[in-house]
Amino acid sequence: MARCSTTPRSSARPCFLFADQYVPLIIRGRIAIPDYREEPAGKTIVTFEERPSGSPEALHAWFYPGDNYGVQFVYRKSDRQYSARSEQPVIPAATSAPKVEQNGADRSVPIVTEEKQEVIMAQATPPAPPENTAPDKVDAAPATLPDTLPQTSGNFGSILLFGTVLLSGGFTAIRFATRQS
Amino acid sequence: MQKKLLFYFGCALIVGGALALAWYGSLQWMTSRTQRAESRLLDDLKARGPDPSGDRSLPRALVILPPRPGELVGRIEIPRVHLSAMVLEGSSPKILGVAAGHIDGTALPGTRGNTGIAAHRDTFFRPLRELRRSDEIRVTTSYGTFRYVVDAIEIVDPSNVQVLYPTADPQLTLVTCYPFTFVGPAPKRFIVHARQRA
Repeated sequence: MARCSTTPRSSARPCFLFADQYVPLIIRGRIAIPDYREEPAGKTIVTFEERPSGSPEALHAWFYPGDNYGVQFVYRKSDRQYSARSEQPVIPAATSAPKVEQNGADRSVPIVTEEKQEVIMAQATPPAPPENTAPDKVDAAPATLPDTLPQTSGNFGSILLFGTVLLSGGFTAIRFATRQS
Repeated sequence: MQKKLLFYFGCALIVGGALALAWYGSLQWMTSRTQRAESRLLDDLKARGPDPSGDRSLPRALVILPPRPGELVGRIEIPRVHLSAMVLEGSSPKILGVAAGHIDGTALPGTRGNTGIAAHRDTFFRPLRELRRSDEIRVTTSYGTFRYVVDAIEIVDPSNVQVLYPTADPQLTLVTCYPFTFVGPAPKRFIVHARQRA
């Protein structure tokens, strides 16, 4: 069974942390409201929102096994705008996906997802990378990448050097002035 | 008269130098405070997670929403060169002033794709100059710890963003300025490519 808690207030914005034995979910939503479904399922059902292709999934609803009531997550408009702005160009999402059988040896819990209609979909499961795959770069540059590499020349050293030189110069000038007198 | 002017000039230089050193001290203090606060937050998030000692690849069902600029991403550590720095989202000068930054538009640590992390060469990423192939890089996030192995090191122009292009498998790219001893805006970028350990 999953548990739900909120993170402490700090520099990070509040988020919900779902922690199951095998399935941690980190959700940056502030609001969760009750949701209802006609027929309970025997498995945990997780619904995802439509998001731009390539961006992380956003939870829409969570139903526990056997319960009519679940939790629906409400994202603020700014969250959606941020996600849309920061991610890849929008590609229409598929309306269904093949059901994936959970491997018994795998440590993940049997979660299936559905989207809008009562169509059971598979959890977003990246296929296992083939052996010895080289880190081939994708030819097309993502639109979200910066035009240039970040400016990483800090001014820490310059400030320290500048201050030291000024101090040395000042003391030298004062000593020279007092010595002449 | 000249002596007096010289004396006042010397005093002005001392005041200017003291202000510069005070500025340097305040920057160091802000950096240290941010690092401590973010480190505590990460430890707290990990403690609440399902696997505090989590040292495994991502589970199959994981949902991570991208952090906003300035929010915590994780901690990067390279044990051999004694590098340890908190990583915040974004690579703006303000963020890079207090932490390492996760470059916008790149993958999050542990996920498939190319994760880009940048930091100043005269603070957090100064030890990168001692990095060698096969060194281990550890990135700790609230959802797991991911280990990478240094694969290649190269020096490129700042306009060469191809080093950040997405990759088919999880990869980490570290970016800092080069040469390390250059004073002012450095003309090149020091790039470290690392592959995630299976």
